[in-house]
Amino acid sequence: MTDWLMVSRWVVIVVTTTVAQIGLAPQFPVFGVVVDLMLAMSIAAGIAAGPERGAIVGFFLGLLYDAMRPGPLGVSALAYSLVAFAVGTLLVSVITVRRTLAAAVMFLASGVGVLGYAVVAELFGQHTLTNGRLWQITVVVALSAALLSPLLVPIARWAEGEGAIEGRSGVLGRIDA
Amino acid sequence: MVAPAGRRRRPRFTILVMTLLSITVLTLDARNVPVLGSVRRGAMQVLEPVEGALGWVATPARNAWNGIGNYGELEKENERLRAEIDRLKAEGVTSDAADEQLRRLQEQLGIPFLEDYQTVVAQVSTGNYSTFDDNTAQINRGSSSGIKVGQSVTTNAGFIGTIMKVSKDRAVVRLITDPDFRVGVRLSPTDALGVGRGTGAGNPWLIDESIGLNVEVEKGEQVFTSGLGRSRFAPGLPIGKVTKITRDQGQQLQILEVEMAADLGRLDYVQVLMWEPPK
Repeated sequence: MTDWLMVSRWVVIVVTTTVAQIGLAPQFPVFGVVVDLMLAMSIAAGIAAGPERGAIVGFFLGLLYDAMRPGPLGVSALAYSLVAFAVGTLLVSVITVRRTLAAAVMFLASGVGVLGYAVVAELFGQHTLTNGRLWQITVVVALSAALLSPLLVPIARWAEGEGAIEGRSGVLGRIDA
Repeated sequence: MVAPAGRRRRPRFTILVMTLLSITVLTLDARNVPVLGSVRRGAMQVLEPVEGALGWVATPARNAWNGIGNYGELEKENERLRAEIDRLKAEGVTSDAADEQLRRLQEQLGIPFLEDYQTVVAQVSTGNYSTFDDNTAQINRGSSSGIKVGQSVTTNAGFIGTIMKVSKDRAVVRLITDPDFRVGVRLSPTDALGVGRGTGAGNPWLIDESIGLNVEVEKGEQVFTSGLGRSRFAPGLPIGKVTKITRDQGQQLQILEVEMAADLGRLDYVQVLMWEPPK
C-alpha cells in the first residue's frame, strides 16, 4: 500500500532541493563550480531509502534540473536515477550506514554522477566531456556532496520514515552478510 | 539480520522504467516535441520569482562569499582600475578627438553597432544553475519585452551570443564561446571574410575557415560579424581583435585567435537587438 505521508515528504524534499539549487547554489560557487544539490540529494535518497526509492527520487530531481537547464531534457534524470540506484544496490546489505561511510559514498557516487552526466550529455550533442573544467567540476561536486552528507542523509531518512536505513556515528556501518 | 523491507521491493523493474522514461524524454526533446518546450517554459516561469527572491535575500552573504573567494583577484582588479584611471586622466585631453575619430572610422567602415538598432536592456541573472552550462547565460527579460529566439545579444563592448530560449520574463543566451556556435566574420581593416567559432568558455575564440594563406592579416585587426546574405546575426557587431595568427600549410588556411571584446566572465547588463535576420 502506498504510504502517502512518505510520498508527500519526498515531494517536499524534491521541491525544496530544487529551490535551493536554483536560488542558492549558483550564488555560492566554489572555485567557480556550482554545487550540485540535486545529485547529492539523489544519492542521499539511495543511501537512506534503497535502490528503488533512490532511482525514483533521482529521476524526478534530475528531470526538474534538466527542465531548468539549457541542455537536453532527460540527461540528468537518467544519470541521477542510475547513480542513486547503484548506491542503493551497493548498500542493500548494510543495515546501518555510519557518517563516514555515507560521506565516502557521497563523494565517490557524486564523482561518478558528474562523469555519468558528462558522458550521456556528450552522446546527446553537448560538449561536456571536452569541457576543460571537467575534473575541477567533478572534484568540487564530489567534495561538496561529502561535506553535505551529514545534512542530506538524515533529511532523506526523515522522508523515508520507518523504512529508512539507520544512521550511526562510527567508522563504517554494520553489514548484513 | 536482513535489511529493512522498504529496501527490498522491485528495484530492477523500477530502474528499468526510470531508464526507459529518461530515454523517451531525451528522444522527444531531441525531436523538439512542443509539449516539452511548454513544460520547460512553464518551469522557468514558476521558478523566476523564487530565484529572484532568494537572490535578493542572499545578496549580502553572496557578496561576502565572493569577497572571500576572489580576494586576490579583487586586489589585482583594484590595481588595474587605479592604473586605468591614471591613464584616462592623462588621455583626457585627447579623448574627445579620439571619440570623434572613432565615430568617423565607424561611419567609414559602415559599422552600425548599437546606434542603429532598437535594443532591450537586460541583466544577467546571478549565474547558471549548473557549471556545465557555462556556454549560456540567463537574462531577466523575455517574450513580454519583445525578445525572440535568434536575436543577437551584445554588451557595450561587443557581441556575446544569441537568444536560445525564451519564457515570459526570462531568456537563455547561447554564448559565442559554445563550440557549436559559428559566426560569419569580417576583419577590419583588411575586409577579409571568414568563419569563427567558440572553443568553450575560457578558451580562445578561433577563426579557422575561409581565410587563405594569401590573405594578409595582421595581429590587432578588429573582428566584426559580417551579416552577409542571410546571416543569423546582425552585421557589424564587434567580436574582438586578432591576437595570434597560425599558418596551417596542410589546410592552406590561416587560423586566427581572437581576444573577445566583451568579458564573458563578468557579464552584467546586456542589450538584446530587436533585429531579425532577413527571411
